[in-house]
Amino acid sequence: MADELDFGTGDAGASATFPMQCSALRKNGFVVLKGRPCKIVEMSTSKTGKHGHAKVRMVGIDIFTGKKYEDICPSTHNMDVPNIKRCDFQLIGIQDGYLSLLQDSGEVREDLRLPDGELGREIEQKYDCGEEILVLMGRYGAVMGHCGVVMGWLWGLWALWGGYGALWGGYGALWGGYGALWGGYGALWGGYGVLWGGYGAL
Amino acid sequence: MMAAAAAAGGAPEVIAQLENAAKVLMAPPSMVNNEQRQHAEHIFLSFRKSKSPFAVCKHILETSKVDYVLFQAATAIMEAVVREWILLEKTSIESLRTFLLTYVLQRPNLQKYVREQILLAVAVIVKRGSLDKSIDCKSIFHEVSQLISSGNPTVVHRKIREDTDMAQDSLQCLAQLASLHGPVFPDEGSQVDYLAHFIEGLLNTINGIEIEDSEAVGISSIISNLITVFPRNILTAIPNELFSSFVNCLAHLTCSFGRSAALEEVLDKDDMVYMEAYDKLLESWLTLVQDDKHFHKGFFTQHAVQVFNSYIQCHLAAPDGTRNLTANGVASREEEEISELQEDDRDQFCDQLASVGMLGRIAAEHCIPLLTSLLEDRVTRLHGQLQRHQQQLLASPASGTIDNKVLDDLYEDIHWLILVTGYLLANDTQGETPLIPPEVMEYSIKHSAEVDINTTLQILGSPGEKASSIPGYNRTDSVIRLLSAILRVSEVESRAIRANLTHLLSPQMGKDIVWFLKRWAKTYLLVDEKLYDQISLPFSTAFGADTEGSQWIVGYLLEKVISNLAVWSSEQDLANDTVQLLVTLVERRERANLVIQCENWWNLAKQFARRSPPLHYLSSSVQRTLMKALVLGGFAHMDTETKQQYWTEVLQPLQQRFLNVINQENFQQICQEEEVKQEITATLEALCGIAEATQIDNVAILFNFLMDFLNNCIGLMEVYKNTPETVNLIIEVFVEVAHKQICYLGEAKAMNLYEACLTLLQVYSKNNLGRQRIDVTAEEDQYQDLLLIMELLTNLLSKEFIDFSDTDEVFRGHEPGQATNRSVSAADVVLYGVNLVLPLMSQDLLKFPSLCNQYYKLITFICEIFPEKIPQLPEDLFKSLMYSLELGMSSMSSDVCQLCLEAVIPLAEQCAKAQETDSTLFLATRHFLKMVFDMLVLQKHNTEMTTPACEAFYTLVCLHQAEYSELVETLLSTQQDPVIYQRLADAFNKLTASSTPPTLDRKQKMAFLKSLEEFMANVGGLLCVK
Repeated sequence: MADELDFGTGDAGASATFPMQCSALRKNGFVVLKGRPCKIVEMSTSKTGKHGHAKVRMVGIDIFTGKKYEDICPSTHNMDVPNIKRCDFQLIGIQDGYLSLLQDSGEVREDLRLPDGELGREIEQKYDCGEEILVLMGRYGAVMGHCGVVMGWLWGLWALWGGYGALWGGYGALWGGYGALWGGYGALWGGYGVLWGGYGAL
Repeated sequence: MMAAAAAAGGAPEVIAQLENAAKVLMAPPSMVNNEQRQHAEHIFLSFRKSKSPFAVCKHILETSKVDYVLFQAATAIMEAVVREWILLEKTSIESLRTFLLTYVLQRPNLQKYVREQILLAVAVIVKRGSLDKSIDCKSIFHEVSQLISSGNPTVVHRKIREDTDMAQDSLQCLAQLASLHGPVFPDEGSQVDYLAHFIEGLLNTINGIEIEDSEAVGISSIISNLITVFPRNILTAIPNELFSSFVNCLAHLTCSFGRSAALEEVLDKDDMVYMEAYDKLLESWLTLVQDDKHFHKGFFTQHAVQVFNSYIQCHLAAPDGTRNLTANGVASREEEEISELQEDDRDQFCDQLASVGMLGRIAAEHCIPLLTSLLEDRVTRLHGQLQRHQQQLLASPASGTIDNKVLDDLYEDIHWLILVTGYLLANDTQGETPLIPPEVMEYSIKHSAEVDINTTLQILGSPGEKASSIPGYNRTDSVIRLLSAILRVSEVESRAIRANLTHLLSPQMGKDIVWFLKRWAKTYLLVDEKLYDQISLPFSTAFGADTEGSQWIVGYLLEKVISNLAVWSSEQDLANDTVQLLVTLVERRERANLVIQCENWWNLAKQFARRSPPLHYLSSSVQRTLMKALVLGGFAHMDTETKQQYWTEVLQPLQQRFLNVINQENFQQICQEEEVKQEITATLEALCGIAEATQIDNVAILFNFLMDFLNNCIGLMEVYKNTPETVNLIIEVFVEVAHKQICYLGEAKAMNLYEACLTLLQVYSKNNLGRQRIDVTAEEDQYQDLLLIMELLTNLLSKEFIDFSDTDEVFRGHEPGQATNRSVSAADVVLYGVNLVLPLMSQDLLKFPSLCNQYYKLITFICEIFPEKIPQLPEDLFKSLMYSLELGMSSMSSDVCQLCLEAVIPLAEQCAKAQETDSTLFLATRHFLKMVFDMLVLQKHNTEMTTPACEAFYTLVCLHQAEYSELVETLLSTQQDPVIYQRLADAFNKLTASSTPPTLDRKQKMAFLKSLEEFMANVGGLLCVK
């Protein structure tokens, strides 16, 4: 799957990466390590000798392959940070190892493969049980069709998820009348129960 | 079973059995099976629990040749003595002690571990004896005196010191004797005699020998015990000459141990015995010189000079010092990797530095000029060295390799000189305003007549010039000159940065500089004359209020801060120290008034609001503190228009940027984009910083400002529910606001905050319902959200303990008063929160110390504050709360156990008040009675737990008197030995005699607690017999 990735061409002209001083990187943030887009899971600093300058050691997990990468560099250096986008889709079908995904726009995408391994099996199983599933997808720089990778899943009551988009679509508008919305909070959200899993994937 | 066999006649069999068991235990694993091993262990365990094993143990010690059996016999004696203390005749205890002591002295070839165990038994006997009021103190005293004089233990020590191990043990014994105090001494005179005798013997021993490595710690413990335990008037009552020799010896030993400690560091030894000994002696000096009542002024000056010089010498490079020199004068230098976890020297050696700084003050006449000249010399050399490097770089830019040895040596010298100067000139303080140390003040005043103020100001105000190039430089105030020497170091650093030599500089030195400046500014800058009887004229002229000097320094420090934040953003610790200096400059109104007059300050504020480089490269904690400083500065004195302008520059951009982001129509779609997330994260971090800036006089403004955000943050919880790090940060904002502000909020405002927190909890709860945390190997920070929620609840509860509010008094004038109709209370929020958190806490999670401690802190708070709400909890919740308490008392750390015991008290009192004997809480407390009873009477427990356990016990006894009697009856009925039965029954009767029937009356309670203490000492161990 990694071979399909094309980091060079960003969509809508967005560059695939931007530079950031090493010391400004954060745990849970993203960074390119050994050419791979990674989520930073560990960061520590050290120095050589009491009067030496700080060096940063980073451990990152490739967001697509889950492989671990490690790097150490002077904390004044600039590192590349990948432009990451995350999308949620509603899973409406699985066919020949490919997923049918309903986008926010109402269009259906069918070009994404069911992931290998544990994650794929889980998605399939949940789907077969008739549970409603949301799929998380990560995108890194390039055109989505080429590098979109299913990264996790959510499931819950479809009816509630249906209401989800509507409510948050109007988020900006509601914000002003926040107090009013809040008053009706219980009514709107009462009994809302989204169950979570696959949380560790991203 | 062993008890029966222990009758003297059966001794040989017992010895044979034990020796066989020892053989099994010592055998290689292949020779014996598990069962045999367990059986052997069991034999020793029950042997140690056997009743009155003294005769058989003595026999074993005298006849057995198996070391392990000897060891076990010593252990059995030690345990039995404590257990059966009240059953034993005093004379037999004494003969036992003599037996053990003589036994050790007569057998120099004993195995180390056997000898240690026997001496431990002796120590335990002596200690237990000193607790016992029934024993004649005089006799102990006489015996020890005799030991000291006739069988003089220091003489004994000299005899036995050929054997290193034995020497250590005897030193340990001596250290114990050095701390002898209390009712042992019949009167003051005998205490003086004892001390004089002891010191004489000690000095004879030390002076006659060359101290071995293994003796250093022992000797320093003896000295430190003597100095800490004996009252000053006793110490000064010994003959003058003897006391002088003692202090001389102490000074000599301190310097010598200091040098040996430095050697240990060079050799990188694992076991730093001299360092430990040096620490102890330096601490003793601190105790000694802090007393100004019993010693005349200047008494310790010469010694202080000696110790101070030797400390400096050990920390400077050759030729002035001996740092990194091995014993034969060879320099060693290693570039090792240092991790971020390694403590900074200023923390690792803070005790040493505090002592040395104190000694430096005592000998200010010598030490302040010494530090100045050493620093000035290093500044000149550093400047020259950097210049040479620059020329070299200009001449051949490509020549990469520069030997940094000379620079590193200079940096290390300056590092230690700055640390010592910092500790000499100012004290560590927490919260309160630090005062200029009186010795330093007096020193400056004493010389102020000879000082030329203008030259002094010139020295201070020209850090770019060599001090000695200023005419009349020797007629300047020495304290100010020492400060200006450090400003000169700082100036060389700044110039090197401007010359693009940053890569050659030491971030460590940069840290030292701002650390010092912060410490100095806290104490000296805009010195408040009201706090002192007299004030030095040079000080008040140079750093007093309304002086050019202070305005200049503030400007200089601010420039340093801004430069550091730009240049050193990649050095987190340095940036952190720098921003702490900035906070110091603005946290007091008087200083802030000067700061905001600097144009630089406004530039900094604007730059930060723009979130542009270099400031946004700083780590999040530094950015947070920077925000805090910028907010604090905003409360300086300004005219209304300026103030308006300031807030428009600092706070409004934050609000505007935030609203712009979240009000975008497609926010929901773009919220996960890195740029958007960063903007949100930066805002949340800034909010934490704003909350941290809360003070009583700005809480009204800051609370109102933050409340708007808090409501928006709840919306964000929804948007970022899949992004744990953002959720955590949102909760953290609430935690900080509650932490810093709740204590100032009046009823109405507090309710606003409670409501916001409740809503936050509801959203959190909804998003977490049924959520599975599937990662079994999850680490502690995966549960950060839980920890934060518990912290939030604890902070909300803290209002019940600390409350400075005066029904929204601080808000008066900020808005029209509004009628309060109390809809949400702290109890509601907290109990809702507990409902939420409790089911998420599992026993596995309690294995993480931070979660465990926070959890128990929270539930204890709740029991203490809302005991009446506990019985009303839903059944499941109630059960798990009670189970948590039980768990905490039985199988957690002693801190947690203590918290649980404290939680039980109000619960029992609540039951007593409610008088419902069928409530579930009533039944639960009955169970706790049994637990606490067992804990106190039947189990070994930590002594620090005794007090809370006793208090809980009494309250529970009051509540369940019948059950208590039952417990006692049951216990007595299991005693077959009539002697023990009687002793126990008497003890129990005595225990409750003063408080029958027990009631929750304070006086009765105190009486009970007192008898309980005695009870514990007498029968506590008795019941551990099997």
